[in-house]
Amino acid sequence: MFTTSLKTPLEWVSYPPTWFPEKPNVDSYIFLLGPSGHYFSSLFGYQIMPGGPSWASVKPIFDNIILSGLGAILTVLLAVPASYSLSRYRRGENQLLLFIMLFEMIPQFALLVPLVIFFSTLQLIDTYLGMTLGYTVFTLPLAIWFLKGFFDAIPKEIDEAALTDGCTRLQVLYKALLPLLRAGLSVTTLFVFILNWSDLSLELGLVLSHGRVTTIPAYMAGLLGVAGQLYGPMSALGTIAVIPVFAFGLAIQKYLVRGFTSGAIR
Amino acid sequence: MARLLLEGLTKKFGNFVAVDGLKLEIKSGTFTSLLGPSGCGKTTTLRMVAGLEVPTTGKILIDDRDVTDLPSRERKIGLVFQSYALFPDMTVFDNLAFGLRVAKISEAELRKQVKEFAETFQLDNVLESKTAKLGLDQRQRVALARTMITKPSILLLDEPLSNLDAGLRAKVRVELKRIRQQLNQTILFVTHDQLEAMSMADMIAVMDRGKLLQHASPREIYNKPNALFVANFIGSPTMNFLQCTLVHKEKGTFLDGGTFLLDVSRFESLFPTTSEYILGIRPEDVQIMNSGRADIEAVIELIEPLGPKKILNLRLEDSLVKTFVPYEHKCELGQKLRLGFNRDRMHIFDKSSGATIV
Repeated sequence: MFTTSLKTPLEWVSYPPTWFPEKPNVDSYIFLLGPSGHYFSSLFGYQIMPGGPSWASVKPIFDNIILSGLGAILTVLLAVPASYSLSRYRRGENQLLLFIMLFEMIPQFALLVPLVIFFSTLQLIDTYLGMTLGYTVFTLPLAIWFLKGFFDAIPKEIDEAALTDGCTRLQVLYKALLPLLRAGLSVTTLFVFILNWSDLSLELGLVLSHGRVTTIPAYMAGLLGVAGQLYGPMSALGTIAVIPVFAFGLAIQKYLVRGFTSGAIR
Repeated sequence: MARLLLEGLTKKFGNFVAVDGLKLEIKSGTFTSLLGPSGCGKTTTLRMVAGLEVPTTGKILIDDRDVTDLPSRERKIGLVFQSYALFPDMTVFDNLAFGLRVAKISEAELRKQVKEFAETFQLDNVLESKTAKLGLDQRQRVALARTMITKPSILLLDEPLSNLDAGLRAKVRVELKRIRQQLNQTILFVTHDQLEAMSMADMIAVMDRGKLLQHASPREIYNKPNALFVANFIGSPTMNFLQCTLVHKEKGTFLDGGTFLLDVSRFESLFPTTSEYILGIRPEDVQIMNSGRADIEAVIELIEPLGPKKILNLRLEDSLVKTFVPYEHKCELGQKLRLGFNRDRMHIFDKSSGATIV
């Protein structure tokens, strides 16, 4: 995908496929991110798309960032009280685990249809609110489980010390525990963000193709139709889209390794 | 400084009765120890007083105010945990200031109080350190200071000395006594170490399996245990116990232990109808009789040197009798000794409880 993004249009569909572009160029990227009309004429020799606003392609990227971010924040906001009570009161702990496993086993597309119907009744299709809520629906169970793990790592005695020092249960949460959870909270938020970012089904389902809300996959689908298969720009967009996921993976690999090996030491 | 009253306090976990109908009064300003083996319910009791466990039945009154249904923060108690439970990632200052901040005391006033307490507890040089960097006794002082700064009516301590090595223990013991004296604080602490209780407390409440056995001063508990369990639990080395049967003869009433016969006629009226008893006598009350009438003869089986003294373990049929001798006393394994019991310091226990004679 990366190499395709650097190829000329002729090479996009050449057969046999070439691995490396003969003349790598960033035309595809410029097409994507820059004023569209101008470059299109230089690629094909004629103007196909009227010069749209230059940031037409950037919008999906921004939209995606905003939406994934909002979704992550909402999810974490809801997850914190839930995981706090689960961690401290232990009720429903087993049920939660079961529920999460079942939930993750169901293909998202299956859940999508009823969700779309539900949302369209509420007129939430193609809205920022709708997308955010949609993201939350799919990521909340996992977020709760994640966060609960972090809560569990804090000994209950800290709670009790805060209680005997004069806190109400709620105060225990935000005065004593949250400062200790900064790491856990950031990790969870980031994790949910990435999940949202890569969530194709939701992004296709809840959004109209040329509606108010644009997300990357939707836009990419649009790129397929306009003037033949624009694989170059598509690959360029894809490459851009993959960067956050890649970066995240690099960032947490240290913890993944630690996670794998710490189990071995026992 | 407050009076604590526990009435009929019971706590059940499912079918397990952790605390059974506990009735206890702790007078204001006293330093009391809840003493007992692991699992006897003392920590559960402490936690109920603190408000961290809800009693199944019973009442808790602090200063004649019924706090049984009140949450911890409304009880004016302070609890110091066995593990200190300091807030990690916070400085000592923040730990101390925590309770005051929750009470919304102004920062200026707060600062003053924290500094004061830090000085009292010798923590002023580590105020800005994170708690993770502190040594054990420093941590305990932080835990203590953090609790005391909120001016609790009753100070509760859960096994305050068990984490510390011998040297630190002595230090902290002194520290706690000082606090008690200077502030006239009512203190209740839980421990399984009878030495700790004996050396620090004004009053000891001995518990076993959820029940209160005896609540008295250390001296009284040592000299007049009201139950076999108490007698066995207190005192190091433990009291000697010998089985015997009550027999009535024309000459009088005797306790027949097989190897010895004791005239207990003068206490005849105190004995209930059962006949199986246990004679208890502390090692220091067993004397080696070089002349005169001896109660038993036993053979030295083990000699334990203990600094200025030695403990002799002597075999008497199927029991071991211990006694003290000064370090210089000459004796060897296998030597037969004639021992006498100090008549004034014997305890006789019914097989299940204690009928005592001192």
